[in-house]
Amino acid sequence: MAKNKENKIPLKTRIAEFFSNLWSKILNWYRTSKFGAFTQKVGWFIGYAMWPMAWIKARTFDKLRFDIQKKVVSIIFLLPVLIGFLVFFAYPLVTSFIYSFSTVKISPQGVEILFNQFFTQRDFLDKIFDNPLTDAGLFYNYSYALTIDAEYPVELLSTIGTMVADCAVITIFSLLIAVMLNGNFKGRAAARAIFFLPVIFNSEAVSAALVDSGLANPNENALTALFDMGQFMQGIGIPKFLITFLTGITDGIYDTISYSGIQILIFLTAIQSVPKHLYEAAKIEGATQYEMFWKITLPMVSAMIPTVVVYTVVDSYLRSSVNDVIESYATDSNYGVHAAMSWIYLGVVALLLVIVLGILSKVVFYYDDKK
Amino acid sequence: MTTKNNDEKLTFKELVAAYKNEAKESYNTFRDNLRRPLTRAVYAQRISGVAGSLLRAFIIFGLSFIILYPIFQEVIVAIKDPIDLNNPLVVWIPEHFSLVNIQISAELLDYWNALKNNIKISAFTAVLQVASTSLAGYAFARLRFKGSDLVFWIVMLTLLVPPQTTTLARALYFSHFDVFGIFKALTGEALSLKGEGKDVILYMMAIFGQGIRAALFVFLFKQFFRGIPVELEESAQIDGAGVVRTFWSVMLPNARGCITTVSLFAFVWQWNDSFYVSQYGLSGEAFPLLTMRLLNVAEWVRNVLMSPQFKHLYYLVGEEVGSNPMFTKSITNTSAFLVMLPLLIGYLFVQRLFIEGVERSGIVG
Repeated sequence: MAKNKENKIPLKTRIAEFFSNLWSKILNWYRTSKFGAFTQKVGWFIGYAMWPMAWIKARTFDKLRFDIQKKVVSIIFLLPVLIGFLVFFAYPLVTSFIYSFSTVKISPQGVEILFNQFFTQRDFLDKIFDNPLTDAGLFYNYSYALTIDAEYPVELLSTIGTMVADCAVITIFSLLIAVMLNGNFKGRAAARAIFFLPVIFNSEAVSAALVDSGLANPNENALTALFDMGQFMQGIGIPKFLITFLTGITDGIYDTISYSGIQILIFLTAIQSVPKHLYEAAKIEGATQYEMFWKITLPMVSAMIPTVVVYTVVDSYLRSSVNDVIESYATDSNYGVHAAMSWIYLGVVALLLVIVLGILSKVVFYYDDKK
Repeated sequence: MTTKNNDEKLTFKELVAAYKNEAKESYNTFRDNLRRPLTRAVYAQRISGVAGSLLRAFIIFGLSFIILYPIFQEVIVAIKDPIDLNNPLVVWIPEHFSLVNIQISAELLDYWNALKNNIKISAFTAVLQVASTSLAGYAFARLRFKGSDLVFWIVMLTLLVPPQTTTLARALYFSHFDVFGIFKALTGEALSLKGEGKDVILYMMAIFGQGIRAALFVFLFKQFFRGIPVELEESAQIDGAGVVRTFWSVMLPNARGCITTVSLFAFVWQWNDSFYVSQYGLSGEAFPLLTMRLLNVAEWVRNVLMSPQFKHLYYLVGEEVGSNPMFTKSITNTSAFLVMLPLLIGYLFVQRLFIEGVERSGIVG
C-alpha cells in the first residue's frame, strides 16, 4: 500500500508534465518519423530548384554594404503591408470618396459610378433605377445626409458627445484600476484575470443579440439588481439632478469596464516601467501613497494618455449609434449617401482627435531616462 | 469568600486606574507625535497605506462582481428548465435543471459547424496577422531608412480611419476583383472574392496587413522591438548572422510575449467580429459563423420549435411558448453564452501567459 502511494503521481502534475514535454515530444516524433525525412527531401528539392535565386542573391544582395542590405531587407519586410495599404486601403478610400459625390449602380458586369449625376426622387428607392438622371449639384449626397435624412445629424451629435464623455471616463477609470491592480495584494493574479475578461467578452454581436432579445435592459445591471439606488437616494433627500448623474455613472459602469480592458493594460505596463527608485526616494521623504500617485505615477504615465484616448476613439467606431444609420444605407444599396455619411463622420472624428491631442500635448510630460 | 471578593474588587479598581493612566500616556504621546512633523508623516503614511488597501479591496471586489455577474446569470439561464421561466421563486438556483436551452441554441447556431469555421478563420488570420505585422514592426523599429517614420504614420492612418469609410468600397471592389484587367483577359470575367464561404478574403487581408486593427499590432511590435537592447543584435551580426537571420533567430524568440498578446487579440477580435464578416457576406447556410448566426437567433426560435425534432418540447411547455418573450430571451442568452464559451475556456488556460506577455511586451517604449 505504502509503495503504491509513493508511486502514485497526482493527476495535476501528470497533466503538467504531459504539457511541458509536449513540444519536445512532437519534435522527437518529427525527427524520427518518416514524415520528417520526407519533408527534409522536399526541402532539398526546393533548395535545388531555387538555386538560380541563390545565384542571383550571391551576385547582387551579398555584395551590398551591410547598411544598404538592411534597407533592402526593410523594404522587403514592409512590402506586404505597403501593397496591402495601396490595394486594400488607399484604393477603396479614394473610390469611396468618389462614391460620395455620385450615384453607384451595381450591375452584373461590375460597379457603375455615375459621377455628379443623381436620380430624381431618391427617397423612393424602389423606383431608383427607373428615374431619369439629373444634375443635382456636386454635394447632393452630403446635403442629403445633413439636411434631408432625419436621423443622421442627431445620431452624429450624440455619437460625438458619448465619444468625448467616454474618452474622459474611460481614461480616468482605467488609470485608477491600473494603479489598483499594480499593487501587491492577495489574489492579484485572479483579479487581473477577471479584469481582462471583458477584453474577450466585448463583442458587438453578443451585445446586439442581447439587446434584441430585450434582456440587456440598460437600467438593469448588477448594481440595480441588488438594490434600487435611485430610489434610495431620493429617500435620503439628494437633489434630483445629482441622482440622475450618479445613477447614470453606475448604470454605465459595466459598459465602462468592458470597454476599458486594453486601456488598463496600457496603463499597467506604463506604471510598471516607472523607475522604482523614484518611489523609494519619495517614501524616504515621507510621501503618502496619495501624494506618490499625484506627483510620480500620474506625470510618468501621462505620456500614455494620448495613446489611450486614440485607442478609445478607435474602439468606439463600430459600436457608435451613427454606425447603424450609416449601415442602413448600405443595406438599402444607397452607396453614395453611405459614402458621404462615413466621410462626414471621418472628418468630424479627425477634427475631434486633432483638438483633443492638441490639448493633451500641452499637459503631457515626457520623462527621459537616458539623460 | 469575602476577602477574595475584596481583593478582586481592589485589583479591578487598580486595573482600571492603570489602564486609564496608560491610555492617557499613550494619548499624550500620540498628541505629541502628531505635533512633530516627522512622526506625523509616519502616521499619515501608515494610515494612507491601510486606507488605500481597504479601498482597493472594496473596489476590486465590487467591480469583479459586476464583471462576473452577467456570466453567472448566463450560466444559470442556460441550465434552467423552461418550466421555471415564469416561476417567481427562482432567482438563482433553478428548481428543474435541463439542457433543453443548450440543445435548442446549439441547433439554432448550427453550433459544431459554425465552431469549426470560426476556429478556422480565427486561427488562420491570427497566424497571418502575426507574420505580416511582426515583419513590419521590426522594419519600422530597427531597419530604418529615410522616410521610414512617414511610412509608419501612414500605416497608423489605417487604424484611425473609421472602417465604415473603406469597407463598403472594398467589398464592392472584391465582388469584381481584378488587377489591371488580368483576370478579365484570362477568364472573361472579373474574380468574385466576396460571397458565402469565401474566407480567402480574410486571409488575404491578414497577409497584407489590413486585418482587424493590424496597425495596432504593427505599433505593438515596433514598440517591443525597440525595447530589445541593440547589443543583442550587434553580437549576432558579429557572429555572422545576416539581417533576416538576426530577425528569425534572435529577435523573434525574444518577442514571445508580444507574439502571444498579438495572436490572442487577433484571434479574439476575428472571433467576435460581425461587421467585416457581414460586409463581405461570408456567413451563410453552407458556411455558418457563430456571431452572424447569433444575430438571427431571436427570429429563428419559433421556426426550430415547429420542426418535428423538438415537438416534445413544444407540447411540454405549451402553445404559447413561441410567443413567450422570456423563452426567446433565455434562448438568445444561452446562444450568446455558447458563442463565448470556447473563448472563456481558452482564456482560462492562456490567461497567465497572456498577462505575463502583456507585461513583457512593452507597449510603453
